[in-house]
Amino acid sequence: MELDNRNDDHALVEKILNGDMRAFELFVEKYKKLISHIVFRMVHNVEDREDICQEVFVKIYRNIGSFQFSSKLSTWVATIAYNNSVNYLQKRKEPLFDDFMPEAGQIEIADENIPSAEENTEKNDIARLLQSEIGKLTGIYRVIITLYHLDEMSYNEIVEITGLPEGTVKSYLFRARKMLKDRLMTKYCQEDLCH
Amino acid sequence: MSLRHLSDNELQEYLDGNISSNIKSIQQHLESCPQCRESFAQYHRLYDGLKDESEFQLSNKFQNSVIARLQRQTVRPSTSPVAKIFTTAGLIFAFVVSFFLFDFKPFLKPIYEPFSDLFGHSSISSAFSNLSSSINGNYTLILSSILVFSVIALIDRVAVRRL
Repeated sequence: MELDNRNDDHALVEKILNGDMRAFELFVEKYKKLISHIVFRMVHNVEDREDICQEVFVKIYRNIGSFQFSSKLSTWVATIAYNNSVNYLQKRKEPLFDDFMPEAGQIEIADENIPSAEENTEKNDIARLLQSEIGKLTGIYRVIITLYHLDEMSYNEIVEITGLPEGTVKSYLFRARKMLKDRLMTKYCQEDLCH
Repeated sequence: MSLRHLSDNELQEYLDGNISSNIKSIQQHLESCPQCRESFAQYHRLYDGLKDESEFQLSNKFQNSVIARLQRQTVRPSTSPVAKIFTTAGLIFAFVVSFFLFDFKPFLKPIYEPFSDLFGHSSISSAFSNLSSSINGNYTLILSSILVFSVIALIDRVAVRRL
């Protein structure tokens, strides 16, 4: 299965290098989910997210010839998305590695992602509560949690993408999950999680 | 049954499927300890929630916007710098070998002949005619090096990059 995927990626890259635009459209279709996971998780500003995703694809197209298949294509793609998002956060002086959870409001969070208390009670939607709590974590916690749970990446792949040691990746992942569980329990105990 | 409650790390490792040695004792503890069972259930719900994709919707026009942006910026995919070097080396090699193997004098004659009056017939014609012999004599080492580079280039493009 993985071998098939690698062969598909080889063929796709070969076509893109030969100037086949349709092949790049397929590439965008295949990897837009992964890139949006990383960029959307790291960048809070809704207006900028899609633009950064586009920039990532332009960068990939420009540099695809330098990809030597020494790692998985998805890891290389994710690394570019991660680095672009880190650059964005650095420009805006947003914390990436701070080991604390800022109070709500310190980080700009998309209004549409914050459910009001009334909405929560009405919809009983734990996923939405969770999204707002994830939004309060620092960037590195958000991206590690996303890569591990949503994209089902291994520790090794996350290490390659973030450039952090495996022990640090593991420790951030465990700490972030415990923080999320505790905060959800404290904040919404009378709602979903306590039942 | 173990009297000690399971730690957060143990519960997470168990849910991640990264525990191989004491799974049985963890399972037994979870069956008998309501507090750890509750904690396990909370983590379980958290793990389910972390798989939610609803927050990651790109607009419908996203793909077209990327392609339009590429066309606007007239971006072209670049080949790797290493491949470029090897390709250039291969071309130089082919050029040099062609001089080494074939006598191009009849083909080159119409090119240099019109200028022979200006610069002197003997100097230009002898330069071209002596080229192959000079390569044959003095540049064997260079030729061999270029040959090695070209073979590596071929391996790089065919075996590694599969291009």
